[in-house]
Amino acid sequence: MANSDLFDDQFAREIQSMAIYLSTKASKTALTIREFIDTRALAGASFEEIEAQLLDDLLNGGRMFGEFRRAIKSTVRGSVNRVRDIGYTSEFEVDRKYRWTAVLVKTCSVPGTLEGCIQRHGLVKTWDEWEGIGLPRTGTTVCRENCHCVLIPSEFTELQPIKREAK
Amino acid sequence: MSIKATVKMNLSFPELNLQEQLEEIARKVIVPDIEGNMIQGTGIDGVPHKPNTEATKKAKSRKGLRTEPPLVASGQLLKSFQISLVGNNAVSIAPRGVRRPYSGNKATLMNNNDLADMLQNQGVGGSGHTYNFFGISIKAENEAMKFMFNYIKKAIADGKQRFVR
Repeated sequence: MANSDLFDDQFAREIQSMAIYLSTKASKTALTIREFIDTRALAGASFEEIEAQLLDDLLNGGRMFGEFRRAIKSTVRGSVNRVRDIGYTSEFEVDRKYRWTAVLVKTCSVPGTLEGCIQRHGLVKTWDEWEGIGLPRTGTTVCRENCHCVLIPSEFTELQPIKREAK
Repeated sequence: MSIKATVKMNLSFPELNLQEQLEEIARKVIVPDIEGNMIQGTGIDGVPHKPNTEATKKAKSRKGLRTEPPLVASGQLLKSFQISLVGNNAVSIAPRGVRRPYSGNKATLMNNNDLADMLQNQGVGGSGHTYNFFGISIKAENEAMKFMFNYIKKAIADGKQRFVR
């Protein structure tokens, strides 16, 4: 119970924060680019081969730079909260199930807004299923890009719809 | 006959720790892009912000503030963007700091993060107008890619110097 209270506390603070998160999934043991180059060079690869591999992976969003490409992707068509979603999913992986958590702000008084977001609140689906239905801020709810709702991993504490008061 | 294969070391697709590069991109590309757009009075989508009304301009002028562009008055929000390392694989960019009241301002003290949220998401004024100013523009995305491309080229050149053959 103490852990879930702590998560709720941190989560509530998190969704009140405007921030851009640039995030990749690399672990502590991940190589720096310099280490990768040195290791490959020691293994006998030519620098031209190493450069070609790195640049090809970067330009095509391959397995080394795919996360990087997602991290720096433009947020022009959605609010910055979507970048936070990307930060979450790069941390928690898209293979998990996510629960729609409604976050209600004053603009949610527009008729029809609550129907979409409240109806989805508490529903648990995979990331692919949510992409099919419509992620928050992708225009599939009345509030469109102004939607504040978030998707959180389903195993975390179920929250009541969060109401944010005007400051 | 059976064949036993053992993978000793697979370096083809290692995990790369790019936190240092992301921090540099945040500092040299994304924050300057956000600030530049604010000074020009455009959103991250390149669309000019709705200009301040005459009443707003007069009110700001009375307080000794800039009247244009719309999001730059005392300059506090413009200078508030801070970059932080998060864990060992992420970087965050956020408007931070408590706002200083300016002359004649009786409004409740607010921090820059809440103000940014109000401007971007909740809306201001009678019409609830929002400003799409905080995020990553397409130009910033392209610049970030160019940064990483050039970083790799330089890292290779440095590597060649380390390994004199």
